[in-house]
Amino acid sequence: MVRFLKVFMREILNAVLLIIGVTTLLYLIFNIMPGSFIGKGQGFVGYIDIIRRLFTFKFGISPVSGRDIGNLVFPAFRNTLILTIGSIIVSLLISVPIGIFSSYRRFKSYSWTLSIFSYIISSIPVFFLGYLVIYLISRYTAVLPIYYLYEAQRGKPILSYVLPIIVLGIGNDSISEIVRLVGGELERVMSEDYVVASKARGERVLQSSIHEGIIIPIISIIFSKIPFLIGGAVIVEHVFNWPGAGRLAFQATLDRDLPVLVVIAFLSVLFVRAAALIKSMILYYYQTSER
Amino acid sequence: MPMLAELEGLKVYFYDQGDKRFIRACEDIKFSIKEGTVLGVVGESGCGKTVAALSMMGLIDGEPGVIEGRFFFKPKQKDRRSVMLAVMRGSRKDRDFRRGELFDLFNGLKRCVEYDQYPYTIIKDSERWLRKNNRIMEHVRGKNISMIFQDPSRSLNPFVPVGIQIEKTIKWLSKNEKKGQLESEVAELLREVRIFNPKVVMNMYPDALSLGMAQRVVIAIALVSRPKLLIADEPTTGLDTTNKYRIIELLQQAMEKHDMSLLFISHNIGIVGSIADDIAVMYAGIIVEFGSKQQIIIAKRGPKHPYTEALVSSVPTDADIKKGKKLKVIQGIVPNNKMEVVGCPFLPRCPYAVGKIRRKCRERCPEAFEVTPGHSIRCWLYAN
Amino acid sequence: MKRFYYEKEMAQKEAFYVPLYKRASAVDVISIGYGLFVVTYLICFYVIAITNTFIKDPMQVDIKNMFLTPSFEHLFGTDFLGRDIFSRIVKATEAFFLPGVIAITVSTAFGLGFGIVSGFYPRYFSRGIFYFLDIIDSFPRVILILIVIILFNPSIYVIMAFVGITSIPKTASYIKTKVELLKEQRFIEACRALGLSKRHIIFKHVIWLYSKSVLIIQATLRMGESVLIETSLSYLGIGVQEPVPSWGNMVAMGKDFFFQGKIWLSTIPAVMILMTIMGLYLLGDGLNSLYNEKVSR
Repeated sequence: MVRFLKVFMREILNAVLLIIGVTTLLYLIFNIMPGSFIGKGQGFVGYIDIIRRLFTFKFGISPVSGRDIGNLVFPAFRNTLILTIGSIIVSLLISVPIGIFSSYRRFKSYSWTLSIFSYIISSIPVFFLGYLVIYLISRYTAVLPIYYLYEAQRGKPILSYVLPIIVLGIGNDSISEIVRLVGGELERVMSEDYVVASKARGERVLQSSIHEGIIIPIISIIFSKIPFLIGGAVIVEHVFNWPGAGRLAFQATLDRDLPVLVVIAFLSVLFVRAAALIKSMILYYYQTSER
Repeated sequence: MPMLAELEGLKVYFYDQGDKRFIRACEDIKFSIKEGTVLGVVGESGCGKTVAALSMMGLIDGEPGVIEGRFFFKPKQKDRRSVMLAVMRGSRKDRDFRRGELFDLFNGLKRCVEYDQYPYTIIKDSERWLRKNNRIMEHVRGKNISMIFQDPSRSLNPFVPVGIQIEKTIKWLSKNEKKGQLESEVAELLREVRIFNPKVVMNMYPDALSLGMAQRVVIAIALVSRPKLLIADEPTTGLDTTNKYRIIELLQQAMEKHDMSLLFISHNIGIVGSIADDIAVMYAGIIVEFGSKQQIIIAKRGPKHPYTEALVSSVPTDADIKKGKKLKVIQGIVPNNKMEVVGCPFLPRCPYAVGKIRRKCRERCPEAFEVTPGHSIRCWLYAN
Repeated sequence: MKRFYYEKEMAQKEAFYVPLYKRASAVDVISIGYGLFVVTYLICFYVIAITNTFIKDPMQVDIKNMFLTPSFEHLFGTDFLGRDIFSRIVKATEAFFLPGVIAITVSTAFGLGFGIVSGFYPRYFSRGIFYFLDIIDSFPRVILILIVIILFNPSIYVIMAFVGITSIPKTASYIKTKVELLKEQRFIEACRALGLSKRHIIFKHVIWLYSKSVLIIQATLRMGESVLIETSLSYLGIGVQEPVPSWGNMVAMGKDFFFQGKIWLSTIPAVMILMTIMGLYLLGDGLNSLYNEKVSR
C-alpha cells in the first residue's frame, strides 16, 4: 500500500509538472497572438494570473462572442466525454472478438477475411462514413435521430447519441490495430509451453490466456488512443452537428476565438493526463497483483 | 491382455516455408499398448518421439505438411458414448472406425483434408481436420489420456501458485466441489506423489520448486483425472540419478493404484529397460524394432536390429567399469531429416551393410519383418 | 524435390539463414503487394500532376456537362461544375504527397535524433527531452493544429510540418527503446573494443543495420496518417481550399448532392482515400510481420 501511494504521488507530480509546462506553452502562444487578452504583455505577473484563472476554472468572457467561456465549454466537454468513452466501447466490442477468433489456428481462413474486413472499416474516412450512415438511415428508415435532439424540442437526447458513437467507434483507425495486437499476443501466449500442457489436460485455455496475455496491452492501447479520439471527435461532431468540444473548437477556429480554443486545449490536456494517470495506476496494480 | 491403444501408420511431415522442403518427423509408426503395461519408446533426440506423442494428443496445431494414420483407443466406460458420437460424426459411412472396444480417434482424417498427389502431399484444408480432431479430443484429453512434458518447470504456469493450478484442474474435471474439500484433495494428491509438506508447496510459485519437485507436481496434476493412459515425455531428463529412480518408482506405483498404462519416452535405454514391458526403438522417424523387454534388452543372443544392438552395447556394465574400458559409441550422426530417405536410414552407420546386402539397403527401406511372434524388426538382415 | 543418397547428403551444409523474401507467408505477400500497388499509383499520379500532363484539364469548368455519370469519356464522371473527376483525383495527390513527405521527414529526423541521444545518454538528456515530448504528446493532435491555424494561418505544408512534430514522440520512444536494447548487446561492446568511433557505431550499426526496418515501417504508417489528416482538414474547409482539388474537399463538395442520388461525386474520392490508407497500413503491417520473425511451434 505504501509503495502504491509512493508511485501514485510520483505520477501526480509528473502530471502536474507536465500541466505547468503546457500552460507555459499556452501563455507563450498568447503573447505571439495579435490582439488583446487578459495577462498579455505583463510578463510573469500575467502568467500567474493566467494560471490562477485556468486552475480555478474561472475563464472569463470570450472577446469574440461575448459569452462566458465556462458555460460554453463544460457542457460541450460532457458531451465529448460521452462520445469518446462510448466509441471506445464500440471499437472494443468489434475488434476484440475478431482478434480472439483470429488467434485460433483452426479458423485461419475465416480470420483472414475478418481481418481484411477490420482493415477496411478502420480506414473508411470518418466524414464519409458519417454521411453514408445519415443518408441510409434517413432515406430508408426513421428509427434513429440523425442530429442532436435538445430536450426542449422533442423527445430523448439519449437516442441521438447512438449514431455518432457508433460512427466514431468504427471510424477511428484503432480497430485494425487492436485486432492485430489481440491476435498476435493471444497466439503468442497460447503457444507457451504451460498453455499447451494445460491443453493436454483437457482444459479450455482461452480464458486464462486472455487474462494473462491481452488485458495489459489492451489497457495501454486504449488509454493511449484517447488524444486521437478527441481529434476524431472534431469531425464526427461536425458531421452530426453534435454540441461537443470538437465542434466548439472548430467554430472557435473559424471565428478566430483563441481564448476558447486555449481553454479547450487546456481541458483536453487535463483529460489526457488524467487518463494517463489512471492507465499507469491500473498497469501498476496489475503488475503487482500478478506477482 | 486386452489392447488399450493401437497406433497405425502414423506419418507426420512438416513443411518448411523457407527451404521449400519437408521435414520428416514420423514415418509409418506402428505400435500398440496393452492395458496395464508400459511401452517404452527409445531413440536419439530428433527422431520424432515427441511428435508422435503430440499427434496422439491432437496437439500439433501448426500447419502440418502431411498427417496420416489411424489411432485406435479404448476410452473409459463413462466417456465411451460421447467419444463414439464424436468419432462417428460426419463420417457415418466409414464402417471401420471401431475395432472391438477401440475407436479410431483419427477417423475422418482422409475426408477432412485434401491431399495433393501421393506420395508427397500438402494438406490444403487442415482447418477442418483441426476442428474435427478438437471435437473428438475434448472427451479424450485429460479425461482418458494425460501427458507429462519434457521440461516440468516450463509446463507449469509461472504466474500462478502450484496449489491453485491443481485446484483449477480438479474443478475443471468435476464441476461441483466445496472449497474446503478442494484444498484437502490437493494436499492428498501432493502427498501421493511424495511431497511431504503439501501446505507449504501449495502456496509456492513454480520457479521456487526444484526440478524434481516440479516434476512431482506435474505428475500430480496429470493423475487428477485418473487417466487410462499416461504419456510421459522424457520425465527424467535433467534429474540426478536418485531422483530419476524415485520418479520412476512413483510412476509405477501410480500405475498399479489407478490401473493405468504408461507410454514412456526416453533417450536412455537403461531407464526404459528398468520400467518398460514392451519397447519400441525409433530411429530417424521410423520404428526400427518393436518387441518385449525380454526380446530386446535381456536376451543376449537372437535377432536384433543393428541400431538396438549398438544402443544396448553402449551401456557400460559393471565389469566394463571395473576394467576401465572405454565407452562404446555409435559412429556417425542421425541423418538430416530435411532430406528424403531412399533406402534404410541407418545405412551410413550400419556395420553389417557390407557386400551383397548393401545394394538392397540403398534401394529400398525395409518393411517390418516379424522374426518371432510380437517381435518385429525393420532390417534386410531378417528378410525371411 | 531432388533425391539424395545419404553419402551425398552428409556433405550438404544445413542453411540456418533464410532470406527475407522466403520468410514471407501468403498473407504478407498479399498485403505488401497491395501496398506497393498503392504506392505505385500514388507516385504515377503525383508525376502526372506536377508535370501537368493531363488529358482533361482538372480546372476546366464545363457547365454543359454537369453531373455526368462515369463513362469512357469521363472515367469517374464530372462534378457540379462539369470538371472531370478523374483528373481532379490525380491532381489532388499534390495536396498531400509532398506535405506528407515533409511530415515524415520531420518526424523521422527529429525522432531519430532525440531517440538516439536519449538512448545513449539516459542520465543527462533523456529526462529533459522526454519532458518536452510529453508536453507535445498530451495535446490532442487536431486541437494543436487548430491553434496553429489560428496563429499563423498557414499553408498545408506548414500544417503538415506540425503534424510531423506531433508524431516525434512516438518515433523517438521507439528508437530509444531500440537503442537501449542494443546498447546491452555484446556486438556493440565488441565494436567499441575494436576501436570503432562512436559516430561509426551509431550511424552504421545502430541506425543503418538495426533501425532501418523500424523507420521504414513508421514512415509508411505516418504517410497513411498524413493522408487522413490532410483529407480531414480539407473536408472541414481549413486545409486545401476550393478550387484546388483535394480528396477531402471533393467529398465535402459532393456530399451536398448525395441526397439527390448523385452519390459518385463524393463516393469516388472517399473510396480513393479508403484504398490508399488501407494500402499504406497493410504495407506497414506486412513489413512489420516480415521483419519481426514470428515464433511458431
